[in-house]
Amino acid sequence: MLGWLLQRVAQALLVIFAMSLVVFLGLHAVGNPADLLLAPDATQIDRAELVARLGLDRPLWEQYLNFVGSALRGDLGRSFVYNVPAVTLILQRLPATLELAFAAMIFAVIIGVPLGLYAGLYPERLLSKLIQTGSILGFSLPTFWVGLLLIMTFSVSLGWLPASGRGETVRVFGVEWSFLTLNGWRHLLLPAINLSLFKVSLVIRLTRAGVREVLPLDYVRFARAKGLRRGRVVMMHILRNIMIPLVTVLGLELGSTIAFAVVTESIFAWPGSGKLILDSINALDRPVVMAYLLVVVTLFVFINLVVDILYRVLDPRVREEASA
Amino acid sequence: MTTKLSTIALSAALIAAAGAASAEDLRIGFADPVSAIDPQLNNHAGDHSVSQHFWSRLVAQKTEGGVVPDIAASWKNLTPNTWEFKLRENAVWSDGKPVTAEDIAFSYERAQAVPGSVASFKGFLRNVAKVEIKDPHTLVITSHAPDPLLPINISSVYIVSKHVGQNAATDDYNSGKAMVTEGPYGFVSYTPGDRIEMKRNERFWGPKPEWEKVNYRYIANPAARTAALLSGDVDVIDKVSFSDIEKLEKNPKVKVWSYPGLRALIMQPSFNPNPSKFLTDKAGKPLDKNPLLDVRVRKALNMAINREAIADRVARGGVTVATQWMPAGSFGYDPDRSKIDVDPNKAKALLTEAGYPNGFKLTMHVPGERYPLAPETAQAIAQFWTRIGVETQVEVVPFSVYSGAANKNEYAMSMIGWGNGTGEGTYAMTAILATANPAKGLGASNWGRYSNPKLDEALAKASAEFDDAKREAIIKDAVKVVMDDVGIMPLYHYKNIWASRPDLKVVPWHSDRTVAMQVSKAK
Repeated sequence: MLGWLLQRVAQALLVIFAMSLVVFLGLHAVGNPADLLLAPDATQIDRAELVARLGLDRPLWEQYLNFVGSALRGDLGRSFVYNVPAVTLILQRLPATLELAFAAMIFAVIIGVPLGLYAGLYPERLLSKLIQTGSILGFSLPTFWVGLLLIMTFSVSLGWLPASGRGETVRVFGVEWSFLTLNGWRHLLLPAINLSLFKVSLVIRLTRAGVREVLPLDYVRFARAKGLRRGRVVMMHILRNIMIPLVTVLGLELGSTIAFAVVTESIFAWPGSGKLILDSINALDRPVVMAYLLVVVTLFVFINLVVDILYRVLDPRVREEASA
Repeated sequence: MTTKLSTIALSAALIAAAGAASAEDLRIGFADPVSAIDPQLNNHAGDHSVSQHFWSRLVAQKTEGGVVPDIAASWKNLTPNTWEFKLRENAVWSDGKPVTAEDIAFSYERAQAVPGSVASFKGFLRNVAKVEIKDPHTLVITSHAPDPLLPINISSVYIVSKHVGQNAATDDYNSGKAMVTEGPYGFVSYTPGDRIEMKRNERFWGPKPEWEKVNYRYIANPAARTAALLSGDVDVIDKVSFSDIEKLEKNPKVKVWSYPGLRALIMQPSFNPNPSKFLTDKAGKPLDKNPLLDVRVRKALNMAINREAIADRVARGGVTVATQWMPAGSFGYDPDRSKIDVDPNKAKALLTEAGYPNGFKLTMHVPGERYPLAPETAQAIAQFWTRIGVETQVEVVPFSVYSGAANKNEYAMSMIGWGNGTGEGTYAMTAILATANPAKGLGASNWGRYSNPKLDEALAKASAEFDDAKREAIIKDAVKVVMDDVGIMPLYHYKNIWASRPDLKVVPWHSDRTVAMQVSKAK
């Protein structure tokens, strides 16, 4: 177990290093941040001063080594635009994105799994066919369009929910959370539904396919023949066995939801990290982009680790394989 | 059963209460990003809009052009190089201490050396040689060279307090620790990238500010801004999307406030003598000589553009036609150059005369998201030019790439949105028309590297002329010089457009800044 963990960490470090190099070169190729940061009426002297102060006049390898050097000391630099440490900036924004992503994942599971189960168990019923067709819509409708539609319906026409922004927050463990207040939930609901739409469809389809696959297998028939109640068979024998692909996909989806909730965040003016990264890329705010990607990669690695551990809990075969 | 019903009723009431705000509160949804609450960190548009709530300046600019008193009640020119400013006796900081000349001197010093600043304010103070304190409410500013525009320049620099500011860094302003202010509104809280909350400053020296509390929210996406207004999340939005104007004007629940603005969209032809891959013959071979160096070609291109059609069809009335860099009615606008005739036949004849009877191929570049409508406008212009034989392709580039390349004069035809923030003509002359001269700080945004000695001379003369009438005459002459030479091709001026609840009134403040002070209850 320990060896496996160490191997995992070494892999992660390699990924982080490679990623930092690629992103650094990529950001450098896009353009010079000085041109974007300066006021339009800045003179050439101002420009030269700024370039020198940000160290942009140094050779590329030196800039990279400087970055790596201070990163190893735990300093990811200060944002060019906001003049605050990049990590602080990201940690300020991350909770908003985290609660949005988790809310979306929870919706995906509590809506997607029952519907998928139903569609898998009774494939011939009209409702199952409706669910199946509905999930195609979830896949194919563009997020921004659905987002605007949600706003037009629930905020503008009906006036039930606010159109944008994050609600009141409560401070817990030094972090501001909005899911603990009623007002916060009212703001959270629409963007979370918007973000979860694709995932709901995914979960429905995965669950349905899994159920269809497992249903005709011998152990299910045997369990039924043994006289177990249908409900117990579904919960214990079927659901548990289709959890593995579900957990894998949800793990990956969670990562990408946190990292790339950009579209939803920008339509709902949600002050999360997706919007931050978009603004920072547009402004070529290098320290923020670098720090953000490092945080995200670390997050992905961590989620994958959790997924692997969940495998062991869910599937005895994986447990034995690892201990053997 | 009854208890259940009343619970539902109560929670419904609570939800309703959470949505509604008091009549004394104002919620604004704005478009420009804000980098900090520190008013001296960055000279960025969003930062300016925020700072005007909290901070006063020595003198201020209002609406289009002209300088009005702010902390200084009056000022006069002692000699061409020295200015005396008299401060208001009744101006106090929010902690009760009086605003004195010490604060001004400190502010001008700090503004030139804020650590971490990327768009410094020191350009506005470049000509300030020294600030002398005569008594607590009188100060004398000496300039390096005679400078009639000194008051306009310092009107962009906000005054912070010395007693708190001397030990404060940007972080202290952001956290509110150093927010001892003297403007119409006081600081409550700042959530970066999301919102700024303010309250009325009861100690403000001027007329009592209209709103008890102001919630100033950053909503970058134009569709989201419109939705926030329609759903009642905010009371006022700025920079209304051009595609929403028509719809909003018909909506009885919304009022649209549109005013002519200063910001101009301008094309800069490249005067680069070297062959460019963006200027080729019809077969795609780069031309030996840059055709844009010939004034006849520039004239032909300029008269091929139907600006009225662009303003009407592309911008749907959100802009006014530009024939020079400043809009009609502003200081230095030349009525003699108020029209550019649209004449494709004459344009073709000019091209033939210049040696391009079959035209040539040109690629123009435009940033994707920086200037509203710029890509659509470029497409329209490409069609006008293709019609006279100059086959034009439009390349839309992200601004992060565009700014670097345009700055190096790599493009054959670039576009710049110029704010004309000072409200008079020499600002654009200094930055986008003067011959590029890094040592003197001239032509910093002259991306096409246009150079005309007559213009340079006019700029030098105007910069030292204290008589307004004479200075305006010089600027008008400069307009003639540049427009007859087609050194740039101005296209249009953006209107400044706000939308609000119907019971509010929005008046223009200064250029396209968005502030609570411009909103009042409609009587």
